[in-house]
Amino acid sequence: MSDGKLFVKSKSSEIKVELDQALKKSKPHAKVKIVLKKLVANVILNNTEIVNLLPDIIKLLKFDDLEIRKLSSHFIISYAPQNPTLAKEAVPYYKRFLEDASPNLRSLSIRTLSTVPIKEYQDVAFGAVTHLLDDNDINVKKTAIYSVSRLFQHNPHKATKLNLIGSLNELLYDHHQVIVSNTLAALNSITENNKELSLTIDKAHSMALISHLTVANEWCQVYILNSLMSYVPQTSDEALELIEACLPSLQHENSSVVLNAIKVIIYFCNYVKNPQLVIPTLPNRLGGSLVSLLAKPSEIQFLVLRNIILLLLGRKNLLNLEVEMFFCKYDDPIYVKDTKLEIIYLLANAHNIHAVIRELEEYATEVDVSMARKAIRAFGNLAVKLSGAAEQCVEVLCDLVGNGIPYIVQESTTYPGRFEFAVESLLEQYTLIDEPDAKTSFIWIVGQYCNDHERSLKILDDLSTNFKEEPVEVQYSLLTAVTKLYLKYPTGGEALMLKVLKWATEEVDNPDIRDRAYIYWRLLSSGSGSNGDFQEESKQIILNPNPSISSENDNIDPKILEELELNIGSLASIYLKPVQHVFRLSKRKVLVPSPALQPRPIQASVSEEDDVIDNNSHTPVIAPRVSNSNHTAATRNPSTLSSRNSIISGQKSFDSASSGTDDKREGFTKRLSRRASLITNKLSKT
Amino acid sequence: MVSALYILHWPDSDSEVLHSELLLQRRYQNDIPNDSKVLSNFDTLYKKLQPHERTPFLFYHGINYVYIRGDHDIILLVVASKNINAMSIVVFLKRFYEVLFNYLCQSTTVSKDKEEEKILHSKLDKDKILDNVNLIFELLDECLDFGIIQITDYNILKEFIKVEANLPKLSSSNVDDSDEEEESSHINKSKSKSTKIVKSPSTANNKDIKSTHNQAIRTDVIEEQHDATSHINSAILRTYSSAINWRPKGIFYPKNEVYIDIIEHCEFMYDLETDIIRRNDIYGTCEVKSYLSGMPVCKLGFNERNMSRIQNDEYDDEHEEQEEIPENQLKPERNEVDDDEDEEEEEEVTITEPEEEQEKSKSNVVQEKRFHIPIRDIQFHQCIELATIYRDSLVTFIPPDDKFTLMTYHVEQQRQKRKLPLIMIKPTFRIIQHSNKLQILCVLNTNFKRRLVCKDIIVKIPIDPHIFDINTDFKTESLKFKAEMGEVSYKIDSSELCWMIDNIHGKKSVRMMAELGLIGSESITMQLIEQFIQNRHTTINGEKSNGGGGGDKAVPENNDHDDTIEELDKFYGVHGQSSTVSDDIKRLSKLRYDYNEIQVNFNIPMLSYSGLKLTYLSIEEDQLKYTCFPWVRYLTKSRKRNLNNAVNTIENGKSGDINKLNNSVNEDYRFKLGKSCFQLLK
Repeated sequence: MSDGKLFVKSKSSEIKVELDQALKKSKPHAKVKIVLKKLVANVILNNTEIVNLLPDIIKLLKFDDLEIRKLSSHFIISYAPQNPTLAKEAVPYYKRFLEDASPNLRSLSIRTLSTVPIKEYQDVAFGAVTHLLDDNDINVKKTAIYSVSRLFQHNPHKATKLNLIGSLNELLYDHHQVIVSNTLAALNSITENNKELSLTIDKAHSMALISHLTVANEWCQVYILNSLMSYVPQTSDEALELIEACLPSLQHENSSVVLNAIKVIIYFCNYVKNPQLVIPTLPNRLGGSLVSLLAKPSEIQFLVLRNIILLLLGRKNLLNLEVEMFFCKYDDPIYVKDTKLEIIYLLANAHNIHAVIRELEEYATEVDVSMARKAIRAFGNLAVKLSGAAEQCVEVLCDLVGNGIPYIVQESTTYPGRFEFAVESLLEQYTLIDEPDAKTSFIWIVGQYCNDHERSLKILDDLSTNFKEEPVEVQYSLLTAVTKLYLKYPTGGEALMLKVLKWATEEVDNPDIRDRAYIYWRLLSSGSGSNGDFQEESKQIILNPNPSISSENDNIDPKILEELELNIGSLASIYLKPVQHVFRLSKRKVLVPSPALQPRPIQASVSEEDDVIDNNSHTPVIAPRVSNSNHTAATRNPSTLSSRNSIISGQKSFDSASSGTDDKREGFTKRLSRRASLITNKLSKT
Repeated sequence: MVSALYILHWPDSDSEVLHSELLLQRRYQNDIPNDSKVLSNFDTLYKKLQPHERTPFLFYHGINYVYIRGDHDIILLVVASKNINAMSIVVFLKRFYEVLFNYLCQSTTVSKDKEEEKILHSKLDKDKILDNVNLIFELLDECLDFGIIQITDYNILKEFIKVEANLPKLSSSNVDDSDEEEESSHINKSKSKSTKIVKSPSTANNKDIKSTHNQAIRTDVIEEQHDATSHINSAILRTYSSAINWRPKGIFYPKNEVYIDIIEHCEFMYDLETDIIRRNDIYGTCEVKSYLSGMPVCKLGFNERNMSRIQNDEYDDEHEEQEEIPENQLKPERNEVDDDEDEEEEEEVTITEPEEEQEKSKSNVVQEKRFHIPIRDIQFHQCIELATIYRDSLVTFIPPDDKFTLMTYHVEQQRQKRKLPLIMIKPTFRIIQHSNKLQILCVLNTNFKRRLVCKDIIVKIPIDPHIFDINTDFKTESLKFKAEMGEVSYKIDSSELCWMIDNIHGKKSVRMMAELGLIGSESITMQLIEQFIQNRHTTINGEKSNGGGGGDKAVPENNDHDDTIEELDKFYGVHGQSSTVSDDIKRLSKLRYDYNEIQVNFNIPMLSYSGLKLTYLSIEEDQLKYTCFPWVRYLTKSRKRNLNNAVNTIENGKSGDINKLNNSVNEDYRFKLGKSCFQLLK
């Protein structure tokens, strides 16, 4: 018969009648079970009224039937907190079960007792748990272990007093790996919630744990691997030994084992100097096992991809990945495609740029419009990141623009670079533009490069016809563009400028727009006359040369990276945010200092040509461990593709095509010489 | 540490139904608000997000939601407030879903021989879950104690928890334990049937069906009947805690057999315009079905000596390998070189003394040193002793009972681009404008050993409805074809030409020619074709009617008046109207834009495309010392595309229609059409 029928909200009185009827039978088991199933269904449906039945249900515990007892316990666990006095009556039953011969009953009993947050239950549980930790039956033992961690949650004070931790610690030396790994998991959950406690293991024990690793079941392996993180190696050799012990796990079928093994390896790499030189195959193996996870379901892929981003940002030298592996498949879900695009961007370098550009070009013509847009954004970012490739990027963009597909045109225009020749082809397509973002950029381009003033005038005139209806950002850029036009071609642009300024000051409601219009107006009206030159000062203010864009802000603060690396595979690694920001109560994980702890390798910028020196960070060049004071900037999600947030630094960038090689550990001297060349550059300009 | 787990049912989460429906919940921690609050938060959050932001991990007001979607609108959701190990959770959810599927669907899919039941039970849906709440709780208790993952292996769980799945029955047969027994023997029967095809028939026929049945389970089941109160098989508790936790003790089969299938799925992409292989990947799996008694130790050796390492891994013999790689990569596959080499159809590996065999395998290794298959991403089942693979290049394992995946691997042949594809298609579309005809010429070449047979080839040649308006009038026979082999048909709903060949040997070349009538072929220009081929159709949307003749316009006009009369007329064929729905179908098929790839479906038994071969196999059981019958088979086939994902990516409102269209099976063995495939004749 179908249990689905039971899945309706019922009144407690109805159920009571049914139950009484069932109990009248000579063999009530089957009927009682049906009633109980109905009750459980009501628990799921969140029917609070059935709490009245609690005494009746407690009576059912006397049936010698495990299923009935299990279902009853489920009910009691759910509703006991609402009526503690009534619930107390069940305690004697459970007390008796604790002594029962059947292991199933014992574990059911301790589980229920430790779960229900009522003093009487807890007291019994506290009394029995130490005893059960030494039970003969593995299953009971296991349940008891978790009961301890439950009890810790309810009453940490009493638990510490009874030295339950001590008893758990003893179990760590149990000969059954199941017990050991479950104890580790339980201890882990206890220490995570408790500020004072922390798990530490010693060398001998960590090696013992590793020996369990080969025989444990997949989830136990995860717990054992995780617990290895509590060991602080004292010498590099120790760390290496542990890394090698973890390597076989990289080929496990369970993705969780693989990723946790990677986490442990990365952790131990902190204690080895240049691990990639000591174990030359390490980057290949790590990369290989990460890539192998990409054949898994998309949810897992996504998680892996996020972690790859994290590792690329912090530990690029430990990974050997080929960009081809991250080319999107047409059936990837959008979120996977997005993340892959980010990785493609991060992995792009002078060697593979051709393949990358070809691939991106394909995405740009894809059916899926949003994907195409993202691909084009990636072009823009790439052009900024690799100056050598910029020309190629822009060429492809122009190609795409030439095709005249509206969204391509719109997206492309958002990347005004230093490539004036691109402007021509843009101008041809301007009628297709209708999105505010694209419009803004387009207007900016027209304003900036209005060399052919007849045409610029016409375009701006066209665009400004419905000035008042445009969104704010379009209005802004229109304002600026017409002013620029006027400054360059006073005769032609005056009428248009006056028209727009008039609209902006008199008819627009937005005070900011009005303010800006007034500023321009004042500037222009006071500008002339000081020294004969037409509008000299306004020109200086308004007509500034193109700032160069850099992708400097790909980097996350190394401190945060360090912490995230200790949390590989966790939720924080998906958000790529400092753990405390998301999980306020969680404990901060830090690398414990030891003689073997290596300073973090100087992080080569993700963009391999980090030639734009950020002039507001004080000493990033010399001491990379100093954290960036600006927290918001540092913790930003590095998904630069989704937003156009290129830092506009005042510094003029200089070309250094020679540094296109992937010299990851950039020498201090090189940086110094760079700074020197910057200074000479400045001198030559003035 | 998971705070709670929910099973939800949420049909049409994109539009109509505002809230998900809770089917089952289990709470582990009390650090989150009550269930209804959590779920309504999840619902609103999910609705609020753009499709591309709907990652499987959501964060909202300090609570993390991790979810996966199953079939039939089932969502498994895990809620946590802590920084949990997301990877473990996602893997767990996937596994748990599989376990549920196995429990609730698998057992009856092969049961009895009633076709209807198969259809009924093949999917995990809402009703199934509601019917089995009890069982699922039971499973959850076992899989996830205190929010910590315990065990997710179905093979163990099924021994552990013996609650009957509560399934609707069509037949009146009451399910008791002996029934279950029969079921499993039926599984065996069907299995032996399926493997029979490639097996030498003599052995397969006289095989005792009962022999593959595990006798130990039966005895256990009987015990259980006596002890009705306990539905947990206590023998298994020991299994779970022992070192080899995937195999219960005391398994016994009268006849010991092991089946090893090496199946390679090809993902292939060929650009016909540039004649370049864009993608040539192999996803291989090694599936094992073991029906062995006791605790056997299996050892497998492959011709690929380096499989244990990811590329040049172990550095002690690195220098040696570095010489090898460049040489090997240019070498064509052995399968093609020694074409005449006579190979046994069925490789039956006999068991000899292990020492001897091992030596032999070593010599094999030396002899076969010259091929290096660029295998990567090998993943092994947990039963494999990972350490020994490194030591002596042998895969050593104690197999779980019954079916499991021993390993999966991935061979990427990007660098071997000059290697000929297994099957090569060369199509030509000839548009003859003066007679309104579309001629499709197609040449198919097979590039594998002549002895091998490729089966069930289906070549799907798309005919883009945006370019060609096929005359589907039934009065004139539209499709004419002539093929050296096989049958050709035109599928109107997916607008493709299907060329089906049952059997073809290697090193052959067959041709096919088909002719279709067109409407308004004058408007077709090379430019138009080029635009569609390159997927740049957006600009042409406006001039759609240009290519797609009258049918497109007529339908909306008719809708204005006399709808029913029109319909009736149409139905009975009055006024010369045809009663077909071809116009509607054509219109529907225009919603899709993926008409630029030819897809090929095939399977080639007895071939492993990567060249991976099993060279050594031994099975030892210390106590029982039985002889074992191993069966090895190879299969190379085209890879099926995962449709679920493809559907998810479609955002436009028409997704409903498109879903329907996408139901046709897609292959991952593709040829991308190029401009040069088209000829325009005036």
